[in-house]
Amino acid sequence: MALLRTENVDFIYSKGTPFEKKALSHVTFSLEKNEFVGIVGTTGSGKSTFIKLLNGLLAPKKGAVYFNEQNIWSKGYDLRALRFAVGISFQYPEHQIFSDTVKEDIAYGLKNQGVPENLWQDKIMEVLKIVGLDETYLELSPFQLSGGEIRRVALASIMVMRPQVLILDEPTAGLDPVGRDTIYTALKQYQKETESTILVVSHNMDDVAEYADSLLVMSAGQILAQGTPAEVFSKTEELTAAGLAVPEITQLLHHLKLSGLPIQDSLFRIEDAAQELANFLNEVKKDE
Amino acid sequence: MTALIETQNLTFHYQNTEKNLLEAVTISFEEGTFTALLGSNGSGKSTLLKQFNGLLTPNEGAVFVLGNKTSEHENWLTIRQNVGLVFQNPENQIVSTIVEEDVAFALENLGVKRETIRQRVNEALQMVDMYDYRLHPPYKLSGGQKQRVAIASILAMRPRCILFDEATSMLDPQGRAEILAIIRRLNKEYGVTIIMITHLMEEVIDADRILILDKGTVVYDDSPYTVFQHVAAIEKLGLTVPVVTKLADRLKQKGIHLSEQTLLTKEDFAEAIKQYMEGHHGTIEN
Ligand SMILES: Nc1ncnc2c1ncn2[C@@H]1O[C@H](COP(=O)(O)OP(=O)(O)OP(=O)(O)O)[C@@H](O)[C@H]1O
Ligand SMILES: Nc1ncnc2c1ncn2[C@@H]1O[C@H](COP(=O)(O)OP(=O)(O)O)[C@@H](O)[C@H]1O
Ligand SMILES: [Mg+2]
Ligand SMILES: [Mg+2]
Repeated sequence: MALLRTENVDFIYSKGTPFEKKALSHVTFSLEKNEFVGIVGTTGSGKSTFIKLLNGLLAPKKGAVYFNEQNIWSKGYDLRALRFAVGISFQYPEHQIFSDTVKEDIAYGLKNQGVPENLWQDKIMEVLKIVGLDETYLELSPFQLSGGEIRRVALASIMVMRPQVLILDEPTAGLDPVGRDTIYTALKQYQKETESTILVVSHNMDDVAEYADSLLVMSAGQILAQGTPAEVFSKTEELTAAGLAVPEITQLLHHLKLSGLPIQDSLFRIEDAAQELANFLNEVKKDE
Repeated sequence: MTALIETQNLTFHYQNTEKNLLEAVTISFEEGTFTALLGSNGSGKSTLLKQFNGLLTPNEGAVFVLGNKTSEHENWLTIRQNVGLVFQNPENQIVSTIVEEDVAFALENLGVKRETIRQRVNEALQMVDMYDYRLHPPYKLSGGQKQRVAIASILAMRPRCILFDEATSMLDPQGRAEILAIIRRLNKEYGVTIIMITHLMEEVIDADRILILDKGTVVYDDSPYTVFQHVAAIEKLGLTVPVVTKLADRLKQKGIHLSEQTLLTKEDFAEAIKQYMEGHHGTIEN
């Protein structure tokens, strides 16, 4: 049974006006419990629109969205409970930050959820660690943080609520390289420990290749491909045609292969690539 | 020759805090150069960049743009015209309700002639591949498209220097490649000075110069080939090296030493492998 799924959803912005824009058409997708899925796609392909449908921030014009097999737009459905179960961290973190201090901002969701105040501190410290900030940040105003620091606070504010499904729209845009790794490693850990489900929208192919169990490729409001990173990234041509790219390391291996090395070029992890090249080069040495 | 931008002992803290975020920074940028500014989150990059067009001014020391001191009010127009800044977040940069009006906004504000405006706006929009969207309302565009409009608005001013604060960080791979190609073209063909902040090491491989900031001081100032030699030190700063460099490093750990030179590009790597293979072949033949 799928935890969260969409059936043939369409979404149209400004319907019935001259600015009408079809952002999604016939999207059928399902997310299983405890999965880590990456969504990739060009700018404007409908990714942000799609995730807003998943927790009922937008309603589909056609088709349906089910959480635990219940249609979220059926009469009397508790959408507020859904928003706690399916938490979204938005692409532009400034839009979700509005308190005077970092601490208040992170505690905001806990308050709404009705979590007793004596439990806040521990929960807050826990998520701060996940996003790589220390407690000195708690009393600062979010408006005096750097871009990457705001991003981290925004992530913490959603994660602290422990949603069953955590949806992150470009979570690592603006993070420094070590911050990127810290967050993804922590997300993986969090997913295991809490048996939660994670959906990450990202333009960074290297990140999703490394961390996602499966990938959803969107193009012009539709699903172009779906599968494991290995399956998806073996389709270099299709991805390129859709304005996307394979991970850097895959590009390098592809380049080497084209220049005549008989190596496997669909790898996307640096360790795997190093092993493949080492094997090949050691063979060459032995042959001589 | 006067540098395009020059800082002397630039020291800075925000009004509401005591701590210096920039500590006696003395650097200069020659016209026509392409510099990448790197550093971990909170290291002071954006704060430094905003000093270069006078959006922020030093508490101690000074910043000069074409010899004009940024702390002097009467220099502001000259400075803003010559040094444009493109931000990280496209959402906050758009002011008008039609794309082409947005691009024309600053020029109109300066009283530039209508015909000139039209020509420059069209040219700028074409450069970022948004000409077809010139009559669209910006709110309908998604993040990456808005960012291209923001870049066009700066291009229309024909500045001598453009500062990019993670301008590509919200774009998809193709959008990023396009913007980077535009940035390079502006630099190579039109001689526009570029100072660019990014967290993606692949984007800085062909910069003339890399500056790395750590806690408000410049800790590296050198060519990419020299800076990226220091894999461990760079990682300690919260950064990383390009994938190609990292792979060569991993191979070295496995006992395969491809090259004495730092490898940065795919071409570097392919060439190093070729030489490595020839080298081993050679020893047998002799
Ligand atoms: N308006 C402000 N008032 C007080 N402190 C600020 C303000 N803006 C930024 N800071 C602090 O200054 C430090 C440097 O910020 P800056 O924005 O320059 O960092 P950055 O290197 O650009 O980081 P990032 O990679 O996250 O964008 C940060 O620790 C931040 O918290
Ligand atoms: N509020 C809106 N009003 C009208 N059109 C919109 C709005 N938001 C997004 N769109 C359009 O819908 C399409 C999908 O956008 P979006 O979901 O933001 O894509 P992505 O997140 O993949 O970049 C784009 O063509 C975009 O221009
Ligand atoms: Mg989006
Ligand atoms: Mg910054």
